[in-house]
Amino acid sequence: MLTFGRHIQHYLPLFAIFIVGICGIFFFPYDASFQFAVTIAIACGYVSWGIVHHYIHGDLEAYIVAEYASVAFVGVVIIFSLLFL
Amino acid sequence: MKRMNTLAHFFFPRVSNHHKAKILHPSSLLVVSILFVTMQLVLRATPISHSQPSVLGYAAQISTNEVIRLTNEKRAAAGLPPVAFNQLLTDAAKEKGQYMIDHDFWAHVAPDGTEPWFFFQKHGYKYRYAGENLARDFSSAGAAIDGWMASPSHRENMLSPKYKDIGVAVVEGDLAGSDATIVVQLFGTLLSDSEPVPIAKAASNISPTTQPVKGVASNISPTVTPPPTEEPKTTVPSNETQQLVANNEPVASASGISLFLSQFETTKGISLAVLGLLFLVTAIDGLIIFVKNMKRRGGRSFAHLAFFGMIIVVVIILRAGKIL
Repeated sequence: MLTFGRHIQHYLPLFAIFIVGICGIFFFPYDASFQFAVTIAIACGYVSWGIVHHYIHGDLEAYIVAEYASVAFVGVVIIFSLLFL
Repeated sequence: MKRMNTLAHFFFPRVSNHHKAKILHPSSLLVVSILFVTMQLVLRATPISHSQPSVLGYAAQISTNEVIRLTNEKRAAAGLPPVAFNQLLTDAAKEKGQYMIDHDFWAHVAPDGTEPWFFFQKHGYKYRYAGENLARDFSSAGAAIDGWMASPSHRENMLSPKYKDIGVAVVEGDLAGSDATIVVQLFGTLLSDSEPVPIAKAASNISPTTQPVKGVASNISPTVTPPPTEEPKTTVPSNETQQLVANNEPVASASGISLFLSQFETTKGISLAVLGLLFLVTAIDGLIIFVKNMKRRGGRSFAHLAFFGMIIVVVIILRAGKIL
């Protein structure tokens, strides 16, 4: 939050990933496999964004990658549950 | 006091949690995920959602009449003539649905190789064209129709000018360990129909064999011009070929009990609660760090907030029901 105002250009790709993902899920409601594939893609994009963002800022470390991965994992698990369980 | 400290440790940044709410730590998020999956498995195994399909199913909300009415509404909107209720197709649809429940599969073609067309023929419906749409776990007839209409191949079946008859069945039972309400929608045109599609036009729809394509748009035209001697053995009585049949009651209404609870809606509610909590904790955590102007090791709170927000939107978008 602290850096958002100063680094808005860094967040634009992240928002683009999210918007494209939401559109993919919204426009293909009949294909659960595709929706889940989109979710996986969003999660991977999110983790990748985190890695690149922190690498640029010079504070990338394993703990941070684990944090992004765990946040993404929660999202994937929830969507998987709704689609397939 | 100790309890308050524990709560604060989990939900607010402080020294004890390295200035990040404990629930947002990777290890805690992993635990949250595991608990969520465990909850799902318990929900599936619990008797209230598993062994009382007549109570928990959605069938009472799905009327076959409504499915046919809405199908014809969509056809009318597309400038097509309505499809007529056909008892043979209805019986075939019922048997197909029950066959899926009995043999525990969810597909057009059964694991033992039984194809949809077997049920058409078994009930004496000799078709020129035939098609099948399947749906499960939708909360209403309208939701199932919307699901089919959203899929190009299912929509093609529903809006095909080739079909003249329709049969719909709603069957409820246990499918792969879950309570399921299946809607089977069969379309057809009798071989004896007096208005065959012109050969030149029909040729583009002919499959090289009589094997239908496995998939949603299961249109089949066994021959271009039907053998003149091959009349259907069972003719459809005129009183059975109606636009709608008034006594076609919803399947589960006979149970007399309607407690409309589904695993999907339960999961959706719990998902939104979990995501809402994580979103709120992340927002408060980020705000406190921002106000205190602290530097800490960790990911960007704003990015996490955006991700949780996006997942919340997706959860809201997702609807119950699957089509095939």
